[in-house]
Amino acid sequence: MTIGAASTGASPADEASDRELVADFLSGRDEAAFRRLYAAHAPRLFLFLLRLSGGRRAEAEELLQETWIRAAERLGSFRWESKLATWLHGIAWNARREAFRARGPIEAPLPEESMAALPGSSGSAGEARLDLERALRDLPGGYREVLLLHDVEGYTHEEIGILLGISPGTSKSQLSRGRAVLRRRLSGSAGLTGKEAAP
Amino acid sequence: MSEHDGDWTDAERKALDALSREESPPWEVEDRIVHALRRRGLLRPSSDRRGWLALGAVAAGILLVLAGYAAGRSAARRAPTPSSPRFALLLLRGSEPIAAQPAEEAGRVAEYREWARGLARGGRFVEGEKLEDRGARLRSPSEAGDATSPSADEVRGFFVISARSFEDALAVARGCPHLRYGGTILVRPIAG
Repeated sequence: MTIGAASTGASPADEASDRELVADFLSGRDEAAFRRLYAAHAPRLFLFLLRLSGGRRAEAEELLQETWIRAAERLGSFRWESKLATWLHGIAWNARREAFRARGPIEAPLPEESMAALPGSSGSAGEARLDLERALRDLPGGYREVLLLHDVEGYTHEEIGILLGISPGTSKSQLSRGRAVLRRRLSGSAGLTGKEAAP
Repeated sequence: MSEHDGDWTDAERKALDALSREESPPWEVEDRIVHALRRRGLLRPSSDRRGWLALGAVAAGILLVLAGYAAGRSAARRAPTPSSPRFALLLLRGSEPIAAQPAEEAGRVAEYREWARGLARGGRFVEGEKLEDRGARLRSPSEAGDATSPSADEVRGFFVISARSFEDALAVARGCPHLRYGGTILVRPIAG
């Protein structure tokens, strides 16, 4: 199946721009062309990896590098059967999964400042977002992954199934449980009430 | 939508939607990735890279984005997509600005300049200027113009950047050192 029909919010104009960026890069593998491609996609990839890594910036930076190395190796064979952003997210996901298998999860507690450094975490509305970021960070891995992919990144259960190697039904049940855990952990805070979510 | 089946309520959905989707990685990460790609033979050096390096020769005492301005013109020429939307980042004084001591001024100038250079390397930076402190406010053609006094919404400078989307522009603005010094940044799409 084609991945990316509903995810990442890219428009046809974005896809045309992506095709132009990729063609530009592949035509000569020029550094400036790569930097333009990077500028277009790295911010979203980075925050995705940062959340997957539970806010560990060094880990997210390392995974971002691995993602771009793999992408640069494989871009020539990318067939545009999915959006470029989705393809890159898939690479990022696999890079993280392999790193996770190789060295296991890093369970060291995170300093609070690593969460405060997340975008949009200052001010009163920012506090609510910070509560939500903290709760996301503290979700068990499987719940966090499915919830991030579905509720934050906009992937469908079918797409998540392909990315994670699970059935769409499993994705749905993981999501449902993850939401329940998140809601329970946020009860009493402003993080998920929406009261302070508006800027 | 009910708690029972795990779906979000509208308020919960809104809270999730308010989460950021983008954050610009540190600039040194971009350089590290570029070097890694070059080491693997996946990238060739750019022919126009010398132009950015020349920026370092610009006197540090020159106001913060004059150096970036030269870079920005070059960046604009090689912007990723000519049709990319542009955004104005208006640097406002903010309600609790952290003033630079004279000895710190050069360091702060270099910091803003380095930030602009990073944008330029990514083809995002179009132009920017620091504004002088003096100025006047006009409300009608017949007015002489009131001297402005410091206020939170006083404009201290501006950047014009190209970005993929409003969210992208916000992500870029969040990395601007101005925020760390108590300033406020107003991000506005440029019409047309």
